[in-house]
Amino acid sequence: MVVSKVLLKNFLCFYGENNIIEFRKGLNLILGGNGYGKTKLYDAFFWVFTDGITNQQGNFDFTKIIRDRLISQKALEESGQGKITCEVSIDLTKINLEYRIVRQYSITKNNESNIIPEHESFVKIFKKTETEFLPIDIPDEDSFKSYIQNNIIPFDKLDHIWFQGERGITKAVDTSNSKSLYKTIKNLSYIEHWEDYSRTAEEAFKRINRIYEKEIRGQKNKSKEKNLTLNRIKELEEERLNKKEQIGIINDEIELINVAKERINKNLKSHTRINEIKAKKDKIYEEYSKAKQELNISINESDRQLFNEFWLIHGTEYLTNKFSGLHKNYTYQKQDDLRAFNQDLPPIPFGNPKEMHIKKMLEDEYCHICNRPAAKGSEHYKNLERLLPKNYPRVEDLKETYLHEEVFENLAKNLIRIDTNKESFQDDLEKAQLRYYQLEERVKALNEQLKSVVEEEDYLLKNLGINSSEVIAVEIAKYDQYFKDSNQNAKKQAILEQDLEIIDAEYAKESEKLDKLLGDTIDPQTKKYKEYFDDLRSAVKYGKDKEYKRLVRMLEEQANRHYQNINKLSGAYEGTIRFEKVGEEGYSSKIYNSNNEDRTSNMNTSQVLSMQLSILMAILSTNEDRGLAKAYPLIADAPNSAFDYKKRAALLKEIAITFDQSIMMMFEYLVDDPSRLNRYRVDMEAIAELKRVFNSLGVGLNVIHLDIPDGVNVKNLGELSIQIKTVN
Amino acid sequence: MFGQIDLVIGLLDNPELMEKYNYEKKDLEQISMNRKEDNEFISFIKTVVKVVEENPDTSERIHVKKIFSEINVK
Repeated sequence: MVVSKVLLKNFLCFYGENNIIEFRKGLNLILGGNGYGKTKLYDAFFWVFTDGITNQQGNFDFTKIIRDRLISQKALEESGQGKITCEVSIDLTKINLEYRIVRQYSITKNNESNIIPEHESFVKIFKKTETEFLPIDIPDEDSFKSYIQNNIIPFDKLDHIWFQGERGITKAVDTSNSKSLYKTIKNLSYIEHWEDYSRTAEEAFKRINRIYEKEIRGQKNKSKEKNLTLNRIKELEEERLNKKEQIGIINDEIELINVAKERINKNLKSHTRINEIKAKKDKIYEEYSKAKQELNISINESDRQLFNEFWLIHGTEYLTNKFSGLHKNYTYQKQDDLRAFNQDLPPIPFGNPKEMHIKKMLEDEYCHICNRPAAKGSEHYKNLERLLPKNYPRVEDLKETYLHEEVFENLAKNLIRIDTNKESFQDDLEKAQLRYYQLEERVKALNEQLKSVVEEEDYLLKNLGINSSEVIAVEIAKYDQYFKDSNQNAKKQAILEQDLEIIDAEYAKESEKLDKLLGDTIDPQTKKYKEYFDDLRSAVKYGKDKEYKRLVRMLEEQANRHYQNINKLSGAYEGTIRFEKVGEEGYSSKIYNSNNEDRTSNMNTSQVLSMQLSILMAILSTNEDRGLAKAYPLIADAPNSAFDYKKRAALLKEIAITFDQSIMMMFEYLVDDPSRLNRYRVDMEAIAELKRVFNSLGVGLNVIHLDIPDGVNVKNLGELSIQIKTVN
Repeated sequence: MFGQIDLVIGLLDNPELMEKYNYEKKDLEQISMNRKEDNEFISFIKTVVKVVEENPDTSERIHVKKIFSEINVK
């Protein structure tokens, strides 16, 4: 089956009459943001085939419940009085035959507030002749379902190949329940065919046995002993059936208890795991906060350091050269001035102390002649000054001219120091940058770790609902009770098996006796075929068990191939998937690491999801000729929300190789559109890379972008419409 | 695995039946759907498989009726 086109008319958010999406063989990627119609498109497929839409709990809501909510709100608000219809039409090909399936639902609008919804939707199937689509006579929903079941797609397969990732893929494949995994394998693989042989062998044996008994009872020379033996054999057969039935009931009970025990065990393990995760989360969060704080400090310091040191490194050399020139000039000028000052001094009047002594005393503000202080401005100081001739230059004047000498001196020293150390500044800067990048990386890594731990915690809490200690106490009590029940059942089973052995022995003895009594009186052909059909029953049972084991090993191999391909590139690959037999009819899937340790309960959401998808793909693709992967398209909404970009690309590649056609709705591969407010654009670079990979595999890639016109509020359903854009 | 021959082998590859009806693994390799078998039990199993496989989507009662008709049991 290949879907070629979908037409949506006023269906949910798809306002208008002309919303057409064309699909191709290979991978069809439908990209859209939240609220842009991805899930509604997925719902459209289910609605057409089943008249229902999966709700948040993964159950079906049928048209008679949803009614007018199926119709685009914008269409409802904008239409005048009269009939408003929504429609989904799917064109598909199945074994060279083209079909069109159309489902419609209408309401009648009398005025703004009065809407009369119809109670049910109407569905039609058209089959293409050479020129046109002609309707097929399907009078009601039951005939429609039966036609679809027999000609297009079996409904029991639908849940496994069309699934919604955000509502959980457990409906498609439930790896948490051994019985359910066994049933999924049985339902999706060819092993189910062996059941036909079981039923035929049982029916044939019953028939030949009836012929056999009829022959005995029809014999003329029936002795009393023959009759008694035959009756006893009949009684023993009944007893045998009875015991087998009882054993079957006990086995079922044991099975149920085992499943319940398995579930509780998993829950308890998960509870321990949740506590471990919580502790781990707190620890990572503490480290994350610390690293973030360090990073913030580092950003501030780096900015300052970068500015200062950049300036220092790049400015110092220029400044030093310029300043040292100026400083040199300044110093020379001062020396010249000092020399001139000393040379040009007029002579001191006779009998006075020499001018150098007076200058010294003025400098010291002390009279060395009288041996007393002569503070500046005091009478003594003035007396000393008077000893110098009137036009005699004052030291202060010279000092004032070179007032900044000391500052320049220090500045020069500092510049020399800076210049000498600038190499080490460069080193410091590089070290600071390195530390900044390291911190940034660490914050990023811790954030990733935190995200993954939170996801795992959410997953466990959401799926198991065991976050309270009361629930745990109840679970432990249940487990204890189941343990007691298991022991009792095991005892009962042993007694019944023993009884059955006794009955079988007596049955064999009585049958032998009857054979002797009958001699050659029974038709040898009847006798022979009675034995043949009895042996056919055991052959079927033995063959089925053996084939199931073979199939499981094959599935394990395939699932591991998918699991490895999806995970290896992202570096998240760990361990191998193993199917373990649980009870008579149960299989559980586990992940073992290279040390042969069960790592199943330690896996994060992304790993669990990749395991589930790998198992699903393995089951769907087993047996090349009859595999469902080649027969039906995979339709999945948000199957990979827990995956990083490498893993996502690997998953898409794996799906594209496994399925002849797949339709995947997802948000990834969209990025913010800077030119539009609150809108996305397709990440063309990533799509080009994907196309390159797909081209090399010879697989088609068709990309559709679901967009919303500018200015429309996604949450306002009354104005919402979807634009369908093909991405080339 | 899904052809008629594979199903015949799947049903006959059983140690207890091999001993009881006197055939071996190597005999299974020689089985062909078109050739007459010397071993009556092998021939019987071939008939069963042929009927079931050639009448898909048929109930077990019809299968049994056809098998009995093939082996001439009334």
